[in-house]
Amino acid sequence: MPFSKSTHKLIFTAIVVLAASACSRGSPAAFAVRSASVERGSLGAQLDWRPSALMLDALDHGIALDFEVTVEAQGTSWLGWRTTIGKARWRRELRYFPLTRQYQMRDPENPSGTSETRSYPARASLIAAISDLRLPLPAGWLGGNNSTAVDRYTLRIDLQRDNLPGALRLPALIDADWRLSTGIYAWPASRNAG
Amino acid sequence: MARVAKRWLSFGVRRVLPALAILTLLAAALLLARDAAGGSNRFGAYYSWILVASAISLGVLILIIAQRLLRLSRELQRRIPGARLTRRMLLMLIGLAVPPVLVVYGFSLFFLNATIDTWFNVRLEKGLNDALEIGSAYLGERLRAAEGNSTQLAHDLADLSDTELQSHLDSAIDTRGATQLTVFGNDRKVLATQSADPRFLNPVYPDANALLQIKDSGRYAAADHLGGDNGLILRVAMPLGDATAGRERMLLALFPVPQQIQPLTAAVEQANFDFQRLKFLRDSLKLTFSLVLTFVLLLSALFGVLTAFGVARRLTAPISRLATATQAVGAGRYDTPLPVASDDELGFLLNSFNQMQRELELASGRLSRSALETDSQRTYLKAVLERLSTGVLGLDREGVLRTANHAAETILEAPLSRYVGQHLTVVRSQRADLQPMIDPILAHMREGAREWREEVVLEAGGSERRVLMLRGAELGSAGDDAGIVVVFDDLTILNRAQRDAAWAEVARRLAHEVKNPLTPIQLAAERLRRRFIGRLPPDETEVLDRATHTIVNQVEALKAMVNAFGDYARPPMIDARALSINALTSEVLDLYENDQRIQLTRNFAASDPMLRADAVRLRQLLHNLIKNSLEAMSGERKPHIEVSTTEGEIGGRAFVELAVADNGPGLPEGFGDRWFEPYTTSKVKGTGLGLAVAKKIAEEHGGSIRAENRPSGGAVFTLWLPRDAA
Repeated sequence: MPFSKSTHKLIFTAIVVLAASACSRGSPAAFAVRSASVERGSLGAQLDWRPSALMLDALDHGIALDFEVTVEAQGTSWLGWRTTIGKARWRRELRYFPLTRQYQMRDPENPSGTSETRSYPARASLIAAISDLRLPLPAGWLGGNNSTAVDRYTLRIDLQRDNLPGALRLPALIDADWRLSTGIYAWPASRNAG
Repeated sequence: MARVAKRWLSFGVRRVLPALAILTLLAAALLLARDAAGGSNRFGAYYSWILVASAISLGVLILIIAQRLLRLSRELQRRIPGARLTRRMLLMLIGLAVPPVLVVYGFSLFFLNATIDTWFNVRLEKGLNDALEIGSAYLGERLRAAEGNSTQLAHDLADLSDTELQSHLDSAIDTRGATQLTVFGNDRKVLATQSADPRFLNPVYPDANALLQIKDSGRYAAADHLGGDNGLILRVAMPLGDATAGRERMLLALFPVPQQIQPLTAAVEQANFDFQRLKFLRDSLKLTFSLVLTFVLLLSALFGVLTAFGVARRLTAPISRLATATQAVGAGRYDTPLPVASDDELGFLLNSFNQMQRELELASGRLSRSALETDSQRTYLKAVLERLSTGVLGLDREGVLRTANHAAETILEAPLSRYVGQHLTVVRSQRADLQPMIDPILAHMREGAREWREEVVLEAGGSERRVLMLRGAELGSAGDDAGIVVVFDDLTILNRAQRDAAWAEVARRLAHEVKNPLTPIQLAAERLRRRFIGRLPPDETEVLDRATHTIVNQVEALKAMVNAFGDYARPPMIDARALSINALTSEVLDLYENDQRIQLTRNFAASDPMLRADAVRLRQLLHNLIKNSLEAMSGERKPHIEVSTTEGEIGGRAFVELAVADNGPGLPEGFGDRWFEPYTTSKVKGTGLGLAVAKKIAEEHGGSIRAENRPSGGAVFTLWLPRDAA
C-alpha cells in the first residue's frame, strides 16, 4: 500500500482513540462484583457500583431500577464439562417514594414481604445497601446434591431493562448507561464455608 | 418442477415479502407506540428483535423498490412500450402520496413535541408538589404523635421485667392505637409482641439503617411503605430504659395511617410519582414517538411507492399491451388480440381496439385481394398496351408523362420510358422531331378538350415522313384529375398501302383500257406502211414512214409500260422453291457479263446461302436493280457494279443480304421510301415502276429493300430476304 509511515501512525492513533472512547463510555456506570461468597446458607456479595447521574436522576424521578441476581453452583462432570448443580435467583428493586422521601430496596416479586423490604432515608444508603448484598439461599437450592460436589460458584447481576418504562426502553437499548451488568463473576467453592 | 418452484419464489419475492415487511413495520410501530404511550413492558423483552425486524423490513422494502426502479430504468432504456407511461404515473402517484405523508409527519412531530411539553405545566407541578408537601406534613404530624405514644409506652415499659412485658403490650395495643407492639431483647429475641393486624404477626427486627439511626438519635421514626396495596405504616423504634450491658431492650411500635387518609396519600404520591416520571421520560417519550412516527412515515412512504408501482403497472399494463399491439398492427400483424380484464373505459377501449383489429384484418385482406386484382389488371393492361400496335401515352392533368407503351416508342423512335415523370415540354426540348406531335397535345390540354383527334406529320430526317393520327381523351369523369390518354397510329404504311392499291387499280385499268386498243393501233400503222410506202411520192413516203414508225415505237413503249403496270398490279402468286442466291445471282449477272459498258464485280458469300423464293420474280427484281443502276450510271465513264451476298441475322431471324452497289451519282436528295412508290423516278425515260416492283417482290418474299449512298460514292440497294429454314 502506498501509505507513508506517518499515515499508518495516524490511522493507528485514531483507532486507539476511538477504542478508548468506546471503552470509557461504560465507565460512568461501572458495575462489577468485588467479592462474593456463599456462607451459612446465604449469598454475600460486595459490588462496585458508581451509578451514572442519569440513573440517579431516573431513580429520583420515580423510575424503579430492577436488578436480577443469579448465583449458580457448578460442578465438573466425568467428561470434564461444567454442570450446574444448583441455581438461585433473586430480584431486587430500587425505588424512591416522594411522600415519605424514602428509598426502598425490595423484592418486586413479593412487594408486601416485609422481611425483604428495606427503606433508606438517603440515596447513598440505598446504593450502599445494594453494594453489600446478603441474600438468603433457598433451602435445597442445590437440588439434593452434596455441597462438596460444587467446584465453583458464579454470580451475575443485571439491570432488567425490559422492566423499564416503555418510553425508556428504546433509549436504554442505545445508551450504555443503562446496560448494567456485572458479567459472570466466578469463585472456587473451596473459598467458601458453605 | 423447477419452473413451479421459480414461480412460487417469484410470487413470494414480489407479493409476500413486501406485504410481510409492511406488516412487520406496522406491527413494530404499533407495539412501540403502545408501550411508549401506556408505559407497559409487555413486549420489553422483544424490543431488540422488534427493532432488528423493523430494520430488516425497511431494508427489504428499500431493496424491492430499488429492484423495481432498476427494472423500470432498464425498460426505459430499451424503450419498452408503457415504460415511459409507468414512469410518469409513478412520479405522479408518488407526488400525490409522499408530500401529504411528509406534511402529516412534520405536523405530527410538531404537535407531538408541543403536546408532550404541555403535559409539564408549572402550575400543575407546583400543585402536585404542594399536595405532596401536605401529605408529608400530615404524615410528619402522625409520626410525631406515634413517636410520642411510643415514648410514653417505652417509659411505661422501662421498669417492667421481661415476663411482665407481654401483659402490658396486650393492653397497650388498644390504648395506644398501635398496629403492632414488640419488645426485642439484646439478642434480637422477641421478648413480647402484640399485633392488632394479622399481617403483622411476625415482628421484624429493625435493619441496620434503623439501628444506626437509633444509635445516633436515640430513636427511629419513619413512615414506611409496606409494598403492594398495603399502604403506609408508621414505624417507631427506641431503646427501653437504660441500656445496661446485657439488658438492652428495644421497643418497636407500628402505627397505622388512618384508613380514610391512606388512599389520599397514595393518590397524591402516585400523581407526583407519575408526573416526575413523565418529566424524566419527556425526551425519551419524544424520541420514542418520533421513532414511531418515523416508522409510520417510512412505512407510509415506502408503501405509497410500492403501491404507486403496483397501481402504475396495473394501469399501464393494458396500455403497454395496447401500444405493443398497435406496433404489431402498424407492422401489419393482426394476430395479437388483447385480453379484456375489466368492464371500465379501459376495457371498452381494449374491446374497441380488438374490434378495430378484426376489421382492419378483414379490410387488409380485402385490400390485399384488391391490390392483387389491381396488380393483375395492371399487368394485364400493361401487357395489352405493350402488345398494341397503337401508340399510347398517359399524361396527367399538368402534362407530365406517366406512361408510354412499347408501340409508342417504336412509332416515335424515342425512348419515352426515360421521360416518364417529366413534362412534355422537356421531351419536346430534347426531341425536337416530336414537336409536331407534342404541340397539339399541349394545345388541346390547355383548351380543356375532352376528346379530340388530329393528324400530324413527323419529319424523321431526310425525306422520310410519318403521318400519325392522334386521338386524345380525358380519363375519368368531369372534375377528376385523372389526366388524359393519347393514342396514335402510324398512318404512313396505311397510306402507302392505299396508294399501292390505287396504283394497282390504275395498272389493272391500264391493262384493260389502254393495252387493248394498242394492238389495233399498231396493226393499223403497219397496214398503212405496207399499203402506202412506195406508192406515194418520196417526200410523202418519208413522212409516212417516219410517222408510222413513231406510232409503232410509241405503241411498243406503251405496251411495255402497260406490261410493267400489269406486273406491278399482278396479285402475289409466288412459286417458292429452294434455290441458291449465289447461283441465281450469277445466272442473272451472266447476261450482263458481255456488256462492255460496265464492269461487274461479284462478291458472294462463301457459305452459299439458300433461299425459298420464286426464281422468276427474284430474277426480275435483280434485273430491275441492275437496270436501275445502269440507268443511273449512264453519264459515267467507268460504270462499275458490285453485287455481293452475305449472311446475317436480324432480331434472331437469319437473313440473306444481297447488295447491288454502283459508282454512279448516288441517290437524289430527299430519296426515301416514297421513291419505291410507282411512278416516282428522276430519270427522263423511266417508267417509275422498277423500284416499286422490286420492293413489291421483296415484300412478297417476306423481305425488304433499302437504298442508301455509299461513302465512297454511288448508291447501294440492299435486299434482305429470309433464309431457307430447311
